[in-house]
Amino acid sequence: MLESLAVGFSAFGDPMVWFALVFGALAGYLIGAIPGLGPSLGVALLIPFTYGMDPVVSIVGLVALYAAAEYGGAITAILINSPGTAAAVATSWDGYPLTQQGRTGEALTVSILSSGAGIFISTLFLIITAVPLSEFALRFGPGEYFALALVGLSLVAGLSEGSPLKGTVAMGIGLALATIGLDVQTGVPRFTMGNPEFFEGLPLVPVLLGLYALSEVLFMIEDGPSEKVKSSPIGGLLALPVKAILGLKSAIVRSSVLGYAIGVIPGAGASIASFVSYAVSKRLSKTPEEFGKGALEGVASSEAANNSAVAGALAPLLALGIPGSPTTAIMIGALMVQGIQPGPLLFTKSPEIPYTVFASLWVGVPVMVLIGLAGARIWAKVANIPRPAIAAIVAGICYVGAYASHTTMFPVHIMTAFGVLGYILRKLEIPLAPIILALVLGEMMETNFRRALISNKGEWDIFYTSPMTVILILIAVLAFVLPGLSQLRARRAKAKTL
Amino acid sequence: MEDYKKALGWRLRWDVIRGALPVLDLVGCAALLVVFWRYFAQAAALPAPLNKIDIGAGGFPTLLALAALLATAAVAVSAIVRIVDPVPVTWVSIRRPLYVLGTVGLLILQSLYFERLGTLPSVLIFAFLTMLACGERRPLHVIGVPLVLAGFIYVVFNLALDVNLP
Repeated sequence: MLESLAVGFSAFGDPMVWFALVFGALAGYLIGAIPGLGPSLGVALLIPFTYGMDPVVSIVGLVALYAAAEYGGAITAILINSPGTAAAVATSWDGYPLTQQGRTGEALTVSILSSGAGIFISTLFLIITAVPLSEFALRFGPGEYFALALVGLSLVAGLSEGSPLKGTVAMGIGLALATIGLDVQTGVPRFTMGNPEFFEGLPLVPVLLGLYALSEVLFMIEDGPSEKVKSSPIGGLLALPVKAILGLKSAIVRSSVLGYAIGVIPGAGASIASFVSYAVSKRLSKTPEEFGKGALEGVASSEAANNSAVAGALAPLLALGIPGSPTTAIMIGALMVQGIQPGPLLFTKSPEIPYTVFASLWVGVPVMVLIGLAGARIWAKVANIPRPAIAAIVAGICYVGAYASHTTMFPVHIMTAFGVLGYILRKLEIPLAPIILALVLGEMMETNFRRALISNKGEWDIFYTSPMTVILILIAVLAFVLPGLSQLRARRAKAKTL
Repeated sequence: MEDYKKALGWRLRWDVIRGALPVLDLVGCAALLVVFWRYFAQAAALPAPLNKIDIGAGGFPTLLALAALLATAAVAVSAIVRIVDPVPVTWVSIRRPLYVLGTVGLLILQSLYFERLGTLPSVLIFAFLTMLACGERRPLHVIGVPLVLAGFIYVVFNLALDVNLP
């Protein structure tokens, strides 16, 4: 493992890898600091820039953007009480009160250092767990693989915001879209409407750009021109006494571990990680009454956790080929563009990819902290970029990116259609994450489902005789049922109070 | 109970369209049921497998269509339950609907004329119109942003990445 890790670090001998790291981190900060734009949209928009790039260079850029965007959300949360990402909501609970008290510099320093520490600690866990997990997954047969993909999808559908039923419908839409094209095993065209351009299936990058980026443009049009936000002056960056930072170490370590563990669960993600860690830190704190009024411990817990969830979400992606978050699902799309299939074989076939990811997370920590601290004043102004300009830029990159993916107009039409569809689905509160995940995992799921049946001479008992498959299918069922039941209970309780 | 029932349905104003989510859910479910039903019919019509132990090209999509039809029907039932339930319904609003509709038209036009116009003219024209639709009226911004964007795209995609753009 150490040898492979050395290979990962050796990638940084290439100046292009450094360029990708710095560019990704800058773009991530920019995207994260703009309220409404998140890491998913950022990664989707960055994919067109990776066409023709070396896979290692592009994955470093994408990972840097993902991590920096998660942190960038904290800046506007602290300065103007407007979290750039959902995962930074808990940061604003204490970050903004600190700004009101004139302690903006302290809040920003703590959040940046906690984010860096979170990534550093969680990457260690990622290295320790991803490799054995991938080795364990090599023992999986097609039945287990089908069940594993089902678990990933059901967790994402069940844990999606809103109704788990709508998450299930979204999953159905994504899986149906994944079946468009020539059947992999028989070569029969399916749902192509006689158009040969559909034979290779739906082009993934244009679908991602449409659903995540172009639909956001329509939301920006709805919001209209933004008003200028006045942020407080930033004084005292790095003025925080070392003693105060050291006092936060147990909160940071605890939140990093929690954040990583939650990030590994597909669908749970950075937001849940930050909320849970914040709640745990408040419960264990010696001064819980200060939480919500400007506790540095609260900022540190939320930020360490949401950044650790980045490494957590990468674990199932790299080791099993199952994305842990919508952003990593989009990242799979980027890897597929490069001809790389994540999963257990990645560690033996292309070890330079996962180990460069590990190395880039560590190397990226000082880069991210430096960019965050040095550019704090600039990032604070990012929230003031006029919304119409952002809408025009996002739409422009979407069209050029979609065209460049195949240098034909077909992906452009697909992206436009999915942009409008994404807007309608989001209005109906149908989550997009299960659609993307199903689209990415659909082919693998169907292939393994059919392989399992063929290997068992057409008998369906393969899905209930293998203990591992049974456990996985049970988890999948519970992931659908439990959130539904708890929502039903909550609704009944609400009805009783009326 | 009558009050909330009166609140269901649609409210139309020039600057905002509002609809009750359960009603919209029913409309969405109707559309999805049609789509999944057609998907099911096409999946069932796919050639049978040559190998008896395989489920063939249509097997997985058929199962999927059945599950999706069930889930969609369940969403429809839950929407009906929410309509008759005493808990107030959630509203969905579309603000600045004319601008949103106009932008959808713009996006479709761009996808039709992107190649014919060429990348840079297309980006310039549509970025300008998108900014206007989003409410930007400052001349420097409306002209400057599309120019900078077109320049950025030219430098990155044409010069740096060597992508063959129209």
